[in-house]
Amino acid sequence: MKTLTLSRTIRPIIMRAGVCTGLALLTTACIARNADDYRQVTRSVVDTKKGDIESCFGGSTGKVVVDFTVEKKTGKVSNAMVDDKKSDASAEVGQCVVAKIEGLTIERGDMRDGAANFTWQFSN
Amino acid sequence: MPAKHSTAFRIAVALGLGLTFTACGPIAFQDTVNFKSLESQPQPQPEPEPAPEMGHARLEGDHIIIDDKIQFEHNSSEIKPVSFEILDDVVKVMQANPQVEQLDVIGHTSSEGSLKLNNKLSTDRAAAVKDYLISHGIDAARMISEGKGPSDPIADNDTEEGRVANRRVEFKVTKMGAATGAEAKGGARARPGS
Repeated sequence: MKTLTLSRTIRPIIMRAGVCTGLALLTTACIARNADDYRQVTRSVVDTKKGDIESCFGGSTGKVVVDFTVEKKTGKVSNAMVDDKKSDASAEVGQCVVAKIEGLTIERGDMRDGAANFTWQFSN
Repeated sequence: MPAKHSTAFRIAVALGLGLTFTACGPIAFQDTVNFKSLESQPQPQPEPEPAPEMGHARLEGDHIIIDDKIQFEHNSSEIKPVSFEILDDVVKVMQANPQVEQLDVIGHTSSEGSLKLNNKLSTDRAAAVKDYLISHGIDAARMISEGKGPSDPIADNDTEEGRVANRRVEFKVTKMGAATGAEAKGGARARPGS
């Protein structure tokens, strides 16, 4: 009997909390992109630095592969790191590229982090 | 009532948890940005330099072509002023084409009249044109002149139209040196005055 009473008291509270949580998540500014949309919006923001990144290569050929995170909600590019195994450009070029993209922010952060793997390649 | 609460409870919890969990996992994607070296890109070909605008005259093949007749006073080698502009353009062509080492100014007439007079008239008119060019800065050593009378018609001497066409001054390049920039283009044909 006591258990039933407790249950009747708690359940509406939990139910309301669940509804509120759901509504809160739905009404926040964050959106849920699919992988391709996420890639495109990230590409468009890193492309704003395309000229700078190109200048990092200084006319020399090579490839820089960078892993970075697009933070959920804020949309900020962070934790950018050169993948040395996949890159063949010099370390200086790699760090230059990292410096250019770090801190960029996409419009309307996503509900999820974006785990990005971008390659910049300069060839003849 | 309890049953109703139970259903709503489950929906709410599922909604909340579902949204919460779907928002958690990172989403992976990758992309490649390619740059091309400028050296490897085809360079636009520079526009060919247009031939200098010479107005009424142009070097074409082995002639300097003029777009109107050089006119002379009747039965005279005196050039009418109306033709000075054409000859000034011939001067420009000669100046712009130093590879033209020798230009033959040739006078022609129709078959009308005596052969002797026509030969003399064509010779005098060609010489008058050559003198005009010399007086406007063209080296005399680059030119010769001759009169061919009616011997080299380009039209029918039986019609007035043909005879008019046959009365002409021709500018023929007889010696062309190595082109210096401009390609050797030829001489000029003039329809000499009547």
